[in-house]
Amino acid sequence: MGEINEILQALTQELRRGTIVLSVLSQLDNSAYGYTLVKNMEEKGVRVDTNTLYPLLRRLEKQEILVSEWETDGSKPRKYYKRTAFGDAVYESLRRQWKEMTECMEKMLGES
Amino acid sequence: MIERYLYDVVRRLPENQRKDIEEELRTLIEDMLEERQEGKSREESIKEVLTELGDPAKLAMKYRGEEAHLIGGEYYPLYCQILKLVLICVGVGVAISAVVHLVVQLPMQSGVVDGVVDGFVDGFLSLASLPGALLEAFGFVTLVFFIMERNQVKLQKREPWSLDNLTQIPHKKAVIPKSDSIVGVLVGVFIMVIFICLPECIGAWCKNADGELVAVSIFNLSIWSKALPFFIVSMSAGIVDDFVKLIIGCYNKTVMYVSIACSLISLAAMIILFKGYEIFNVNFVEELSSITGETFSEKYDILTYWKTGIAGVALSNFFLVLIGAMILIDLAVTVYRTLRYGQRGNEK
Repeated sequence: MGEINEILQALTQELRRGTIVLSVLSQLDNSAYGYTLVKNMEEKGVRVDTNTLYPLLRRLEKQEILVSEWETDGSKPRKYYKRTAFGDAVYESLRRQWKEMTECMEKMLGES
Repeated sequence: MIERYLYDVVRRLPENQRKDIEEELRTLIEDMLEERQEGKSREESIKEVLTELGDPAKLAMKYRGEEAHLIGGEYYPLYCQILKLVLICVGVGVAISAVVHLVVQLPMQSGVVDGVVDGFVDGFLSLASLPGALLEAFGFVTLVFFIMERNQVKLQKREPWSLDNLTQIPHKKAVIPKSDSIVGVLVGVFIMVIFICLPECIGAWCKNADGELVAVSIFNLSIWSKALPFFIVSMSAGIVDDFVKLIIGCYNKTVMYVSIACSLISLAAMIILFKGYEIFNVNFVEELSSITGETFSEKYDILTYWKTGIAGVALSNFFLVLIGAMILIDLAVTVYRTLRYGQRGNEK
């Protein structure tokens, strides 16, 4: 049954994809460095591919949900991201959406 | 190796983002390396890290985001539709011209074998240009759509949809059968190909003294190159008209206006063609006589008539009226159907 695995994998990935933005936004109260963010999220059980996260951060920055800053103090220049005020508002709304959605989902899934 | 990887990612990105992304990725790679250096050679860890980051093309695509397509969903259905039509027309056009070459070459040669061989060679040569022609058409259509995509050309003024302006199901009699338009386009292309490539073959075929088949064209070939552009314009207008009908598929205002414009252009070009040039071969009968040795005095009325020289003008007028009438009748049908059935907007 290689097929069911394949389908399942695709579906799971799709499900996860929808949550990435929200999970990233939740971690950017304070500015954080991209790779540290990957590690932190991994520790909390949310696996994000680095090659997905980096472009995503950039896209969010373009949408003015995040701002970035180069930090050149250390040995290597690092780019730190954090939420803007606009990003805060977006994050709050998304969070509410998520709560509602999960409640509904829980109810539906509990039925069967 | 890292530099090569970075280069491979960055070269696929817009100029102004390259430096920033390169810096960011370089630091990332270094950090990832630091983390997993233990017990391995640097070389090995680099391989591991870069493999994890994956295909540079894919990574670059993620950075580029939604721009990473040539022709987006909005245009894609239309693109496919048009591409199909254009490819069919080009394909059939070239195929027809190949067959015409083949057929026409046959009797022109002295020896039958030579004729067949030459005909086939010519036919195949034209066929050989088919892939190129198709590719060219494909490229051209794609280019046009690519430009439309990049500039976000709006195809129609898209009002936000509402139940009231759903597309009307066209009245039965307003539907233009696809077959009609396709035949129209094909016939147009066919005639154009023949008139462009082989005007000398339209006329009488007869055996000369040596028993060879030769053609005497009814057209005045000496001014042919000057007259041809008008002919092409006229035919092209007709083809465009049919093409628009094929795409839109039913009579409506757009079709009507295009039809009117095309018909007028076509008509104008025809008038110039027939009135401005002596397109018929005035010496047709003499040439025929000199080849066959026959004199056409009274035996064939029209040929005798032709000989008198008035024929050139009379013939031109005759054909002009004939073609003009065809164009106008076709236009009249279009206008009538459009006005009668094409805009029954409020019908359920």
